[in-house]
Amino acid sequence: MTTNLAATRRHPITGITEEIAYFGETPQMLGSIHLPAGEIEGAVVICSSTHAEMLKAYHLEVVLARALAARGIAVHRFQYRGDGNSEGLDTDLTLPAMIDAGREVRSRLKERTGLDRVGYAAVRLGAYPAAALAEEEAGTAILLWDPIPDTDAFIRDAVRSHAIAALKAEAKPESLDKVLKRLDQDGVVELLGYEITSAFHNSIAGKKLSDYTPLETKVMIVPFGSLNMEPIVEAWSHAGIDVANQDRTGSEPWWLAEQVSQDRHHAANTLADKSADWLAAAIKGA
Amino acid sequence: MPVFFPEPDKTIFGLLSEPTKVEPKTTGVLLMSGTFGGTTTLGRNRMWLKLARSLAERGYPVLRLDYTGLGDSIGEPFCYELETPAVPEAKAAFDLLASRGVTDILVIATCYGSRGALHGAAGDPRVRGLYLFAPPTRSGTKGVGGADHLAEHVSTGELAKRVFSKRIVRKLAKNPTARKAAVRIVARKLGVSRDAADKRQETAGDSDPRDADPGFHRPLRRLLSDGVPVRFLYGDDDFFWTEFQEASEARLGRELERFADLVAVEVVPGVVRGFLSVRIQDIVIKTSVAWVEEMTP
Repeated sequence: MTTNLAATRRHPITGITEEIAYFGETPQMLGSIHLPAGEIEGAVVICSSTHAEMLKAYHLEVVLARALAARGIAVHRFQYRGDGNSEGLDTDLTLPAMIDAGREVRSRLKERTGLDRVGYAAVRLGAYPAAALAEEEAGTAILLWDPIPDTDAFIRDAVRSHAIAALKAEAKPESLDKVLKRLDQDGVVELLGYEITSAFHNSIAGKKLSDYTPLETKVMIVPFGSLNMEPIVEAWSHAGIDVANQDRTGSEPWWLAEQVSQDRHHAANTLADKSADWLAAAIKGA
Repeated sequence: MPVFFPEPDKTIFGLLSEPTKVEPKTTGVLLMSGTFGGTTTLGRNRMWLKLARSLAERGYPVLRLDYTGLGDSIGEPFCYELETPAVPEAKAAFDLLASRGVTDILVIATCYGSRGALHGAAGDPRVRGLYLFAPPTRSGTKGVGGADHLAEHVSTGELAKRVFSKRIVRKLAKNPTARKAAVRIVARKLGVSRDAADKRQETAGDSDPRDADPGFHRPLRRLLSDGVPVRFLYGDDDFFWTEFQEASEARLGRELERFADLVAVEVVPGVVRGFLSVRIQDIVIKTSVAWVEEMTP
């Protein structure tokens, strides 16, 4: 695995080391490793969502990574090929490619920390690569922020947000069926200024999170919006997984990534601290 | 290439795209985004990344960055309003580009980033041009604009009275932005004779509600006075275009006329602010690349 020159810094107050580098085979991914100041007591891979959701949750994931590192957990964040600041084209972004990327990152983190087992944190669509990876080998714990129970909700949310924006601009909103038809015909569709490819859509279509069964792990689900998490909780509890479902925090549609604000930062810090407390404790107790 | 800068604390995170297949030029580009989303390195639909790659392929080193408190940068997040522009980030970015062999810097910016670009670039001899996409010209009467307004229009005695009121003391204790503004007022008061000509002009201009605020106008005038070309691109449906047009009927218009050979204003159909459509993103990338090539000696 190739790693280019990394940017490294040690936080002057917390002592946490952060390394950001392009790594892996071409097209390379951009990844960040957050290392605790003291002993490494666990490791977590953070699986992001994609497109607007990735952009919106970006800093929230940084805050979570720093909160976990402050609790002795090494964290690896990364951006999928064809998304974020990673190399690659829009067409490189598919669910199997996201899972492969997560696998590479997991190996890199294990190698770096010397630990055998890792935990996962994921946002929205990122729950799918996280659950797929946790199905492959026993992990420690999984934290899911507003996971999407079925992947059709991803495109549905995007189309809904696009329609809201169209109405605000006094334009005619398009139905989901029409958008999907256009995607099928053209191979790409524009939603809120993002290009969604049919390669991406076809790779996620028809998937349910409850189809994956993570091995020997604890799961915490933190719903933000109105999605119903019961099918996941039910399926995973039935499979003997210890699943906790936290109270809803409430959020505007994910695809409407808004300007940052102090209030949002405060909310992000609170959420990250609470989540990091649970995840660090679950990992250390595993 | 990811970079942390400036030394020694390395609080800012940036991505430097350096040419790999062609000889690097000595002209480098700084991209300053608005505060949309959780990182300011990317933009909607990876627009800044696409622009950076396109320029790097043509030989230009390009730097994108996360503002303090955002993305992978360190620091307390704040309000990211126009009154507190990202000037330290811009200046540190210029130094970083210079340390990589760049002698001439071009800045492409939008929204919040455009204000930091204007203030950061004013007076820096390394900056050779600015291309601003839908920059806001007014920031209300708060912060930098408001602080300057108070310093220039309210007597020292009256300001002292106001500062010692319970409400203001509480505000200063709680709010770092208010403290920054207070420091700025004192600085302006102490150095009020420093730029008498500017002050007279601004006093005249401040009385016109259509005008751009000093936070926009002052650095722009400094840049133009120093011979630095500035290009604007708005959408005809941009709210900021309406503001810019109004300001152009007041003092800003006189300045634009005075420096007509250095100023270019373009208007395209639709809304540029926020780069809401792929069509606008393509226009921004295309016009930026053309401008950078045109500006390169």
